[in-house]
Amino acid sequence: MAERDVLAADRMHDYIDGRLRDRDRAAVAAYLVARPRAAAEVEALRRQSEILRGIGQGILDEPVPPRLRKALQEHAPLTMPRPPRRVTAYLEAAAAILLLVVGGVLGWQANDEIHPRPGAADALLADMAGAHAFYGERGYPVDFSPERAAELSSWIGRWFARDVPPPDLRDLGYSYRGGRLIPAAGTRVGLFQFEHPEDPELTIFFWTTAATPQPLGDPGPAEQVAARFWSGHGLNLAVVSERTNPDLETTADAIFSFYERSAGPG
Amino acid sequence: MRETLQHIEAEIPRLRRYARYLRREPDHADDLVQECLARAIAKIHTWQPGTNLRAWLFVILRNCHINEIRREQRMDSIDDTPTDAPALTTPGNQEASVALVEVRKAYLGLSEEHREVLLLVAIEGLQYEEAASILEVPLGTVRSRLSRARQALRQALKAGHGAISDPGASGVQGLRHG
Repeated sequence: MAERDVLAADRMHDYIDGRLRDRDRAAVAAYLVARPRAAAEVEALRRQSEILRGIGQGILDEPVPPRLRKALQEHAPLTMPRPPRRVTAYLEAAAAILLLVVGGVLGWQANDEIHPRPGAADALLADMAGAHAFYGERGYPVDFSPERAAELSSWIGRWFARDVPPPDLRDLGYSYRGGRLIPAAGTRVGLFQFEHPEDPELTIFFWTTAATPQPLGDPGPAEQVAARFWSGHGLNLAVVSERTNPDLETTADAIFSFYERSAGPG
Repeated sequence: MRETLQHIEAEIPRLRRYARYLRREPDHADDLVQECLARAIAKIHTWQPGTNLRAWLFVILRNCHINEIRREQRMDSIDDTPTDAPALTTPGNQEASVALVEVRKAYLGLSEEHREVLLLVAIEGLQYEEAASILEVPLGTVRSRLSRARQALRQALKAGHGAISDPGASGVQGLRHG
């Protein structure tokens, strides 16, 4: 280290914070040995840093509130990493379904009017986008509110011959508003609606009839709705929300993990 | 995964301390930590093993805080956001040493950016690079901020005739910034 650099303040802070290499540290130490007043200043700064570390120590010593441990435990099962087989299945499903919607985006116009694209699969997706807008309108009553979960479960069981429960997304900020079944493009689709105090509405669609993949043209620049897809254990899912929703990816991952666990065997 | 969760759980006290800095009111601070934990678990796949988990969690915590502030601003209800000193205090006077009381008092008198960089580097022991990532500023900015923060703290302690002895008039001036 050049002599002129030894006194540089950032070197001193590197020295105090233990960031210097052995050789540079030795150079600073030697410099300070010869300059007691500078050494005293560095020692004062070091001592100051040492005392600083005690700030907020009481917070570290406090017992962790149970709700924080609970939050960690409750979220963990929802988002356990998918095993490799699951990833492959997801990618295959995504690849197939993405043929339906180039870029994973549904057609949408600023005046909220849905413009379905040609083709049965397109119609399914357009219907889902329409249902998201129509049923997901904030404050709009849903057919089966959470209080009528048993009735909705029974309805789902009759149509799909299986149980498809709504996930609990409260820790991600989403409240479950309710659900219903709708006819869509010649098949039957279930939907669960969620709302967030700030983020856009979110709708989970589920169906069991395989849609026929069909490529679409360029979705164009006006789309405002985005979708994420998953398929596994005989169940197909689409998570639909506005493109401006910053948490769509994260929320969809949590939802897919939930169904990976709940829809799987056992 | 289980091991990672245990590591995250072990970081909760430090998340609470940083949150208490960001949000003065303890319940609000814990709300922030709770949101941070939810987001951290949801995006755990983005954490690179071998990197500093604490720094990664701090980035999430700070982003949650920024989002919260933006929401409050949208709702025109920012009355309860901290506008001055953070609440790094605990009931029962658990930080009773004279030196710590004096340093803490001087620390709380610093500017917000000086307090935060000291919290991350000097208190939490993060690397400069990690602090730069959390604060979303260049490394050089962290360096200069840290240097100025320490000197400001030093001057405040001198002005208050603190427990940390004054080594003499030439000391501080003897350290060039560069």
